[in-house]
Amino acid sequence: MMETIALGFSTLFEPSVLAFLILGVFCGLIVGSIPGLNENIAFAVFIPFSFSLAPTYALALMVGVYCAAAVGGAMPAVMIKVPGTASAVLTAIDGNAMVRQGKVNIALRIAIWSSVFGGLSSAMVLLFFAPLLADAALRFGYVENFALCVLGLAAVVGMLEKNILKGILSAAFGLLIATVGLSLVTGFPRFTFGISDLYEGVPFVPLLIGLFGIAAALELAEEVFLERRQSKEISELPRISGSLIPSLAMVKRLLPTWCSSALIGNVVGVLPGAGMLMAIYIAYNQASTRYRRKYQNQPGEVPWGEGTPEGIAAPEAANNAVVASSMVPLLSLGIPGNSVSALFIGALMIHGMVPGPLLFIDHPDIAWMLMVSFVAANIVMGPIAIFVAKYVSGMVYRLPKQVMVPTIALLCLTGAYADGNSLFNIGVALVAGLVGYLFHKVGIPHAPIILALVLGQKLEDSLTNSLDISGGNWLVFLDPKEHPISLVLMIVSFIFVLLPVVKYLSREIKQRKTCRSGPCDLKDFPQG
Amino acid sequence: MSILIKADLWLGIIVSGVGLWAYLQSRGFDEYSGTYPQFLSFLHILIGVGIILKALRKTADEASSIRQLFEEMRGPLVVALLLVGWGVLLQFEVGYLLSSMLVMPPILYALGYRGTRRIVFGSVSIVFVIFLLFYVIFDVPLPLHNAVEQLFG
Repeated sequence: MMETIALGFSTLFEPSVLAFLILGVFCGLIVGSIPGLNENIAFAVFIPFSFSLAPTYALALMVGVYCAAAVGGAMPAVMIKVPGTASAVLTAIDGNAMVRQGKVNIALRIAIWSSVFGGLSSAMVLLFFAPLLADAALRFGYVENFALCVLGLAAVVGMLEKNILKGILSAAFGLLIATVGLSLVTGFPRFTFGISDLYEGVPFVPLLIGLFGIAAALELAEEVFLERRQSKEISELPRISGSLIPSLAMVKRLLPTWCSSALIGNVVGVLPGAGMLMAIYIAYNQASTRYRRKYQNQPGEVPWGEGTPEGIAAPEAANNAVVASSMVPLLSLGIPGNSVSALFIGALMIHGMVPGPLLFIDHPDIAWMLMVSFVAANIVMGPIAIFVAKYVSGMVYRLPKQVMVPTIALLCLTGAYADGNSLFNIGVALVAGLVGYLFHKVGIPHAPIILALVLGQKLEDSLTNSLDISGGNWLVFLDPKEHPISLVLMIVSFIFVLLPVVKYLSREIKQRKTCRSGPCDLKDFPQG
Repeated sequence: MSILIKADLWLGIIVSGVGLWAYLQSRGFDEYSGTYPQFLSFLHILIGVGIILKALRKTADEASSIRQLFEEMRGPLVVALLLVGWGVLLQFEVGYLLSSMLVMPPILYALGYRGTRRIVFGSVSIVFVIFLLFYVIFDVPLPLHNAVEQLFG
């Protein structure tokens, strides 16, 4: 095995191949840091170019872009609360809260180095455990996929503490939107109103851009109007100055979060179709439990979601851990782990290569170069990300807020159009932006709706097929003999859902007991 | 505070209404395609009722007022309306550059950006940077006005 790894490195260390990898990392960071652009759009643009490039150059470039886009996405998420990519949705919560406390350097430092850790871990997984993990993922059928979707949604509900009902509403709304389009079973058009653009469902990228990008622009506009009304000087966005190198204390504190989140990211990444979003939600939830137990009651620590280091580290380590591990099923079995790795198939096929076990036999240099590229890309990513954060992305965020609002809005709307070159997408992004802003105003969290949108179709499809196969037996998901993985996933999901309910009930009981024993003020108790 | 001024009460009514509408719509689907959306619609109605009941339980101090929400949202809604106007101009084939140039100045003005030169420079910079990024670098075929399209070949 070491010989084949050495073969990969010798192909990669050709100066021009390495230069394309570094160029890819740089481009990925820029693409990721521009709200509205993501690795899918970047790949769609790069694929035609790869015709004219040697396969090693093209693949090195694509690996660089893929690895760095998620890190780039964290930069606007932290700085202006607009996730550059979908995988930075949760980073925006604690990251931006930390920036508002004046800790911009710490927030970016945590985001960058958590990403590097997650990315390196998944590169190692790809390199050493690819065949083993791919074999386990192959055992997932409809029943297990349904249980996996339930786990993803349960993890989101488990995160909600302030208002469980509104969180469930957000998830249910996402699931309802996911039903728009032709029915998977019979092809019957559902909620399409005769609009052919809706036959394949509500376009996801514009919806995401609207819910996060446009809504964020409107939130920023509200801030500007409020500051004007209070006759305050419009505050500038924070500036990045000082070192972005991690301190030993930071590494020591975040290491357990990095390890657990990277593990979650790797396991989720290797499952076809699960994707980055599911990984970040599970990792974020897991990190919140640990933070509340270990740090929240200590002096100087803030409540979860209001600028905690773990709140940035967990999603960033998890989303980057998905990157290389999502290539495991693609390289071992020819099954893409997500939409981006599916685009790799296109790039490989352009050069006459078929992903799967045969790739290791027919083109071992390419197969191993591809795998070691992930290691190299993650190593060079840290320093390049610091450069981009300090000297390139920073320039964009130095604009006054009044200029930022139309810039973000126009970038997002143009990005929505770019995904399919359709004016219909602009309409979707605008409607989603307004809905997202209204949701923000009435306290409905955005996170569950996105996960529900991602999982909606898969949930319905796997549920229908599971029930068809089992003859309508709902207990099939809890069958310890036939589907032990599903049983475990369902039990974990049940625990996730039960936790906030138990917490809510215990708070209520405590409140009633205190009220019985003397005068009480309802404001003293958190509302569930 | 009147009951009707509670924002969550209206949210509950809207959610229940959406659920009811979706339920009635999904009754028109065939049996296999309709069951799952019907279940989700029913869930919306339940959640809506839950939110209404919770809003009724809240005291006047705890509940957020619908009037205050509208007051806060007034400015952003003006920006949103201008963005919708931009989308409408695109639908009427005015072209990306011209419609963006028409909409950016009023947005900047609404946000309190003052000075004719600053507004014009700001609008032109924003539109051209984004245009160059998407049209030239990323090769996205943005919808252009016929005259502009001929200019760019």
